[in-house]
Amino acid sequence: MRPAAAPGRAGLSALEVVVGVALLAAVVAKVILVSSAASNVSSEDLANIVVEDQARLTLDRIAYSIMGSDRASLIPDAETPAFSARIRYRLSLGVQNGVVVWDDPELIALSEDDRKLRWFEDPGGAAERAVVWCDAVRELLEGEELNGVDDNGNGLIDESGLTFEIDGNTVTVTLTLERPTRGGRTVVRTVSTTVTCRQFEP
Amino acid sequence: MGKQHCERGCARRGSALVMSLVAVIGVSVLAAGLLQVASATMRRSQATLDNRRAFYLAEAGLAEGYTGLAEGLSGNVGTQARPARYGEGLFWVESAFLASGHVELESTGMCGGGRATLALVAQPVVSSVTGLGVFSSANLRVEPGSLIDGYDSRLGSYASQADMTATPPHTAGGALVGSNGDISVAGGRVGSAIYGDARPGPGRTVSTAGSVIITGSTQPRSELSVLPPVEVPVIAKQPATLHTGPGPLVIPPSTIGYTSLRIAPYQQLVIRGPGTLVFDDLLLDAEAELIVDPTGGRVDIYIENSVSFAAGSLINCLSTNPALLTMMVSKSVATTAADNVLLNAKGQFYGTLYAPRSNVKIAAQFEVFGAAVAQRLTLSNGGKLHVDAELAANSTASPLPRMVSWRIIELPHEVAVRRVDPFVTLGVDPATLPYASEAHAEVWMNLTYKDTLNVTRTYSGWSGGFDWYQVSSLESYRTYTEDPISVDSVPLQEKSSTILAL
Repeated sequence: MRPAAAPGRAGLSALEVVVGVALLAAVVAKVILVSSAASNVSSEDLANIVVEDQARLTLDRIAYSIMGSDRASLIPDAETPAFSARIRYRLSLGVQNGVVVWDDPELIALSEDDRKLRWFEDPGGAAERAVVWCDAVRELLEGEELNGVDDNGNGLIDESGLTFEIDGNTVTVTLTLERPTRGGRTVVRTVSTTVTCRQFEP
Repeated sequence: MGKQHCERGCARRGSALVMSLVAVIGVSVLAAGLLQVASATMRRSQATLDNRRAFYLAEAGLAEGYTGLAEGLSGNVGTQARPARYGEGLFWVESAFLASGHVELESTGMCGGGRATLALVAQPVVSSVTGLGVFSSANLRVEPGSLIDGYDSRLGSYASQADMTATPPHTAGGALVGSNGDISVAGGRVGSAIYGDARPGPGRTVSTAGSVIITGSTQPRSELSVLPPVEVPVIAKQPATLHTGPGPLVIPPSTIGYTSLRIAPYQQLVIRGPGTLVFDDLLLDAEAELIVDPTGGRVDIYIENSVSFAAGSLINCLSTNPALLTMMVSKSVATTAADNVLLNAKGQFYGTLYAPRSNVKIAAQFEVFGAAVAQRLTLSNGGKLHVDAELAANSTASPLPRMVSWRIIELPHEVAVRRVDPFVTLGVDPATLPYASEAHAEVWMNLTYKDTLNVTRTYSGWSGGFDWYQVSSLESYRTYTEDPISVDSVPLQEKSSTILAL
């Protein structure tokens, strides 16, 4: 008859426990590090994507609004190199009894206080209505510093994060968005488009 | 022993499995999350791209419809049931002729899940001679006490633009007075005024007598203006009619002809647009009244012989838009012959008078707002003529329709609801769809043209059956949605020499 196994053989020795715990800790730490890194990368990618997406979406909204306006209605109407962080325009509702019917004026403007880009219907009027189109507009366009110098070489000085430039019947819209990531970085995206006012002065 | 070994070994293998599973699940969750983000991003990017493509497809549709209008077609391109194929998407354009004479094109573009609908309003009829304002190919005579000035019907009424405190009320300028011959302006004691240009023919002069004001240029024109003849639509005419009542004679929107129509004293003739009316002679006796209502659509009145609105008769235009009424006289008389267009009625005529081979006399009570072009034109003592700049604006040399409005409009519901492949949404096979240039709706055309041998020919038939290569120059054309012989229809577009003017 074989002697019964010693009860201690059923568990782990102190050394085994220490080694096991150390290995487990190393693996867990590695997993956490990898997960954290992946999460950070993912978060930054996501932030990049979100900012890019938001910038494009906002730019499209602005572009579709301006292209439906008529050049004569744009305020301010100073041509490039003048620029503005706001533009007022009007849209056609069609023709009635041979006369073009115009909608209430609309305004797209960047607020200096909260850096929010708002669209206004009937600005200053009794039925004024405002909708925030974007809340992450940078104070100044990418690469620009508030120093009286054209830092980013686009011909404009100290231009704001939303800039309208009028040249003839076209309007160039440039928009810089800025959003911090969880990793402490800041994602900055600049998008630009040039649209032609389709409306024709009746 | 084997059992004990198994118990220990199995326990260890189990814990490794759990750890592995945790690791695998963790990585899987991360990967799935990233995949979902990437997928969502791709979907959004694709949707944005599709919407942009659909937008440009709709714009391409508008361009195609506009081109069709410029070619005299209806502007319809494809239909929702059979749209035009373009790139990876499709579009169709629906046109609607508005009562004001404008055409509204509505273009819907679809590409992938993208949808866009745009609308454009254009003025398809481009004029050439209304830009002449007040014009005669022979000498033009302005009698004492006359006033010719200009205004812009786009900016509101004449009264809103004129100095109503002046005697007589007038605007600051804008008159366009011209002639291929001389212009004589008699002022007399009361004085005549032309607030704008008065330009005679090349080498000719402007002569004045008495008190005359001409604020603009009197320089001779650099070249003669050729007034194309009026081409009267061929319409079966009713016998000569003398309307003596009771009640007014109402001509509803239609295409109709009379050999002669005479309105007896105290009777009314009411013409409602849209309409094309052809008369040999149109006569209003004293105290008779002509009421023209083009608010429902443009009214074109063709006269083949003479017009006589007796002194004391009345004219009443229910629209102040001069673009909605034209009176065209085709009769050809010698420049020395008596006036065959006598407009002695009392009232305000908002429209264009075009009589390139006739001699016209406009009485003082017949106040014209619009344009008047004739072979010989006499503005009687105290006559008033106000040239509409809007008509002149339409007279630009461009053969293209004038665009007046563009806008983005809401998608049709049946198009907006299913954001899948457009060919699936509409249930069409892309292989069977026409290309844009082949998708224009056919129109019935009545053409007069000169062929390559310079022989004048006519064509009456569907646009698809005509070979444009045999045309060396086009004298006139009218287009209809249906054969006008079988279906009583108002022309879609008219670019006869006359309508070119209007």
